[in-house]
Amino acid sequence: MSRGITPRAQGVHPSTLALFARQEDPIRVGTQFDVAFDLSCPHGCEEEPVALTLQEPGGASRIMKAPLANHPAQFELTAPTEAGAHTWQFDVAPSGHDGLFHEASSMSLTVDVVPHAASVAVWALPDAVISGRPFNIKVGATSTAGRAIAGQTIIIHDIDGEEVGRTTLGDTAWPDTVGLLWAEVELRAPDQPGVATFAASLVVERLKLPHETTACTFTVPVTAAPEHCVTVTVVDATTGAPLPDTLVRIGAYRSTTGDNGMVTLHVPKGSAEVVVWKTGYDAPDCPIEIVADKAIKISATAVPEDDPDAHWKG
Amino acid sequence: MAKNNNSGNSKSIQGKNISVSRRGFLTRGAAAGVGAAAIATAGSQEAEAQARWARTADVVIIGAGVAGLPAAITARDNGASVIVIDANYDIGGRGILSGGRLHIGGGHALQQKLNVKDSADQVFLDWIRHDHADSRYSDRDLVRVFADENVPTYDFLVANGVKLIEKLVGPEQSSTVPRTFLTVEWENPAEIIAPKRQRNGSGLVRQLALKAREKGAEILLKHRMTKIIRDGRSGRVQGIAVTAEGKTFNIRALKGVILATGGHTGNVEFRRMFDPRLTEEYQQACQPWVNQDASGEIAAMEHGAALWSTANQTTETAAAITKTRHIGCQWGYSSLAYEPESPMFKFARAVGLTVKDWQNVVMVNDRGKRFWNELSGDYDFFAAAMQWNGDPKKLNGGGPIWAIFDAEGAKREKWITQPPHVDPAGYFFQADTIAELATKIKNPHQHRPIPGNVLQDSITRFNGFVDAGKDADFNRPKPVHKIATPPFFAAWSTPILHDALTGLRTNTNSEVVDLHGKVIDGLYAAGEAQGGFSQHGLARCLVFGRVAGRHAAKRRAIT
Repeated sequence: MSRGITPRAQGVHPSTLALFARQEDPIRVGTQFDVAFDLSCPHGCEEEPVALTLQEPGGASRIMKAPLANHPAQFELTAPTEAGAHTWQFDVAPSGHDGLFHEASSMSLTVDVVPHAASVAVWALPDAVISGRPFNIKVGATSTAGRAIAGQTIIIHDIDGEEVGRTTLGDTAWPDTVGLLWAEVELRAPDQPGVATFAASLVVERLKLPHETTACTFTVPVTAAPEHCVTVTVVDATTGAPLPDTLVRIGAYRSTTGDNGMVTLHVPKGSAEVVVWKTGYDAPDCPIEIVADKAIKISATAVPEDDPDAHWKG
Repeated sequence: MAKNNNSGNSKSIQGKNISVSRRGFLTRGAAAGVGAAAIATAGSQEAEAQARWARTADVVIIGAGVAGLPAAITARDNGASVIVIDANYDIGGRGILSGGRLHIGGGHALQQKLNVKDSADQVFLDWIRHDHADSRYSDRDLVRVFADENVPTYDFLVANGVKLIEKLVGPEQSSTVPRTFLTVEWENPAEIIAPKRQRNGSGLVRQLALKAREKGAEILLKHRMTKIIRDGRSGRVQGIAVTAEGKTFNIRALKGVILATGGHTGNVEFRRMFDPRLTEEYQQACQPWVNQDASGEIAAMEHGAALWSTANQTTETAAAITKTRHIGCQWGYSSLAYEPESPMFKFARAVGLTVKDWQNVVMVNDRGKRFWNELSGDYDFFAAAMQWNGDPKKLNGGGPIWAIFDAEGAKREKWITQPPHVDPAGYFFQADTIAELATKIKNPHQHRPIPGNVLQDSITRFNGFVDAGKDADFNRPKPVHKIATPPFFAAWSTPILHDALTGLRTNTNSEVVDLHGKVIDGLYAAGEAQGGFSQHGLARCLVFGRVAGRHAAKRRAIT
């Protein structure tokens, strides 16, 4: 069979306009997003771009061009600045030439536009804070609206909902983060020893675009003022060799041993547990009564190391 | 405007490119349809009755791995002509990625040299022990053969140039004397699939493949068995149907067909016969190099073959399922990781972050909730990971498990949280806050987004346990590190499946037995495709590969 140019079809064909795909992530207020749709003819016609009227949720309309073809076309739309369901209306006018015409078609797209999302992180917390004394922490926030939150306020509440501190976000991102704007804030430790709970939240009322926020709840141990030095030496139970780089906790205070297996912690009076952690070792928790400076030695027993290659090594 | 790219029929428009050309798709679809029709025709009974044999050998072996290669050598040693096919582009199966751990004893020369007293009877007694879960469910007929064939198998390896490290690794599983040895890694790194990971098994399969070829066995790579062809009247297996590069043809086996296809762990439908929890999110060790697709088992079961000793798959002692050790990549099995030097790296996409201290992470399920003590890695941990997590649309399997850690944890572990160490395409995520991290976790197996406040609550609660010095939820020993310093990370750490511990029923000749207890004439199984006992490692594959190759070679040929 010889191949020639297919003669142009004649007559009036329908056209169909249908959604092909839209951005899967939530569509946030005031942001641009992509939609793709098919404008096609059931007979498989391919025609020059035709006029398409887009009526936006706010009532404005604009005219664009879309190909009548067998592949989807993509458009960028802008979400309104108010959250909620919004509808875009697309209308394709009748078109045609040289005896082949395509009927009008239309489509509407309703999108649930959601507020921006902001959330908070709190770090650089002291291992423990002294009752009644001030301490510093770092707070940061990130938003799907990017730097729109620069200069906004973060408020810290205690467990009773009382504001105990506030700070203003700077305009530089914390190292290695994408856009975590941050600040330091000074808080005062409660008078009662124990574990104190706080929550840090971003104030969003003054932002132009609506935001939903996730607060960051955090805890800090509160103790009496340290009065004594406890020196802990950790050794290998079998060889007696010092164990460096071993984490030692006395109550809420912690540090790691040096090359000589020793660490000195400044701790409050009272009873506490000495807890030792080193990968591949096991050491029992050791209760102590702290009434004066003291030195203790803890033997850690090597346990067969959970080496991923142990199964295979000779 | 619309653009095409090469990513197939995807509707995602996260990027700017639209990926579908309908004409392209239709063209491809039409071609695929023709191919499917061709296969269906070739597989019909009519075609089978008039089967034309493209190739013929006395013994046809499916799988050039730890069972198939010794079968090929042994069949050649017994005078049979041999064709081995393998679906992969290279030989070795899972054995090439193995650490080379070989459980072989009975009093062989190396044991004697190292002053180990052992005997075939002792091997037998150890592997039928009632007081050990690894041996309790063994088929004692098969264990007897295994025991008696240990020394001859050792001698076979030595005779064929396989080198063992002259060192005792120690008794293991139900053995009472040292029988575990390691093969010496293959000398050419270019021929080791994961060359930086002590893949000692490469020295076993490369050497056996060398010998098999030297002795005249033909190994056809990128050939996939599609079915076993059996004579309708006599019931004798005649050969197999094969596809290679889109062509389908038949290979005749005058004496026998040996299934050495590997196990079933990578086949979701098949493995769920033994444990319905093992849904699709659980990956298989040694993927993407090889997929344990149960093709041998299924092909044999289509002819009525039985499975055997299936309890072994679920004794919860052997390495049927393991804790992911390299997190942040799709396949983080224990000692195996694909470095950028590996030919598999392109497919594996990341090496993974090796966890040295689980104190540095908190593990959450696909709801963002902790589920167990992260320092544990036993079957209670796996059961907790696979528990129902409340998804009304998914009652089996527990969904993905994510290891959550912060910048300080990464620093303590000296992790580099960038490719090639991690796979941001679904298996590793970074964010500025914990709540934001939850929204970033996207993976084909993560069916619902993790609510940001739920993950934040899980981490806040855990951090409180660090302050208190006690994990009130799961009693994780000595919680020592808070997860607080940005940025934050989520790394895939879903448990990964390993050994197939059940398979086809065979008799002591490795001949496949059907549901009525009758031998399927001319069909053999060895290796992980064979059921019987649940030993981890290479020895049972080698032993029964030899047994099958020898028995098949000695049979009378079809005339």
